[in-house]
Amino acid sequence: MKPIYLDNAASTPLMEEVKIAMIEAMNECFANSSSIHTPGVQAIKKVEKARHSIANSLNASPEEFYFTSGGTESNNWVLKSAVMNRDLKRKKIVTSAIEHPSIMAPLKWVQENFGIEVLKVGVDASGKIKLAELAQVLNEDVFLCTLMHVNNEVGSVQPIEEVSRLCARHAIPLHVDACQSFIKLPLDLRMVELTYLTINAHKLHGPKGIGALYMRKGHELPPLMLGGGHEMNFRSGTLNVPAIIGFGKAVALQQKMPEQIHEMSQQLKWLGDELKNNYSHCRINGSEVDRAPHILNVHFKGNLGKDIFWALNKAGIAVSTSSACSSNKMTPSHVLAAMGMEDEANLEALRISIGLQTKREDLEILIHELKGIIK
Amino acid sequence: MREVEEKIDLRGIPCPRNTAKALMFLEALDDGAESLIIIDDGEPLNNFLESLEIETGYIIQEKEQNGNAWNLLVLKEG
Repeated sequence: MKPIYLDNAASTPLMEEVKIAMIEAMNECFANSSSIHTPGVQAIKKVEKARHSIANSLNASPEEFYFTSGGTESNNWVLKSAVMNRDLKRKKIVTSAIEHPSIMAPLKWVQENFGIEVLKVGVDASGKIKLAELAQVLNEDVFLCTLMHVNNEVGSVQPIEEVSRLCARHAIPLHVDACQSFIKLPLDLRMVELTYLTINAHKLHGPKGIGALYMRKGHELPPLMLGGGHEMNFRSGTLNVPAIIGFGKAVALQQKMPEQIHEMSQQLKWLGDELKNNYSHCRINGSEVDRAPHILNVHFKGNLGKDIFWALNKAGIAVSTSSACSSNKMTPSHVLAAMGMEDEANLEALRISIGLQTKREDLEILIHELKGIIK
Repeated sequence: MREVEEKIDLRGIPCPRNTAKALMFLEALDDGAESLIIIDDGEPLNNFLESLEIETGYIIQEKEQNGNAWNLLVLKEG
């Protein structure tokens, strides 16, 4: 049986057109894009075309995007530089209880090294931030609010428009980590008043090792990486031209594919319904309606997530658990815990995430294989 | 200098990104279009003019100093 990959929230396969564009770039655009000779100018032209594609997809200016090595770097940049750049009277950062480790770890770091107070706002059982609780903690002591658009474990979609309005009342810059939502969900940066946005390529069938940070004009943060002054002095380091070209290509292609992205959400809804119909003890973790088009998190009562994971792996199907292996034992997911799930059900969670390459037959095979696994 | 509809202001944008943006801007124009390019004096201007020499189909019709920058009226011949 051919392997079936259902872990697209972790990473996605390259689109064929992206691969071709990158190979061409590796052969022909090898010059340093900072060089002023013709091969250098040819390389930087392709970089700028990619920057335009990305900016167009979000209705923003290309000058507001800075290429980075990925989502983790973009998130670190915002959190660490916002601390350096803050009005010293403001000492708090507000976030949610379900953020990605690339937000949680730098927040812990600024807390320990700079005495910054980090306020984590809770979420409801569907994984959505509690807006009333958020409104209560946003005040003149806060210098940054950081929130993910789509949760990577359960696919819950945060109401970033409402959050941006709440932040604006207190002139608090809002940073949104959109690694899971970029391209999959519409976002117009002329309509939503957020200040910083993290995006990357490998979650949308582009290459690994490339991402970008959007910084709204007039709100630029000091650089994290110092050196040769690349990216308008905001992010030094020789540009990874083939990866940037691949990123731009993936964005440009998928902007023309809204039907396929809608089809993904239909596939996932079908899968969720089938699982619930086949197993009375199957529960969907998080919202069944207001969810990203590619992530389904479920648990089967009495079945450990890791047992299902390994059994599916043997059958050639790659999925993911929500829990993590830490100190030789499985630790419950902080996301599901924040949603109020008890440890027993938490350890039963399984994440199935689909991509553009996923076919209905793949999901039918998954259902068939689960019949021999689920107790 | 004559007023034209198509223009790009590249002041403050470092080399070679300014040149790349200027060339992309010119490529997107229709044949026969006239456009204004504003670019910083010194190396930015020199580098752009050197790069433009390699491209075919563009004529600089007018050139005028504008403070620390230059206004270039460019015709795309096609």
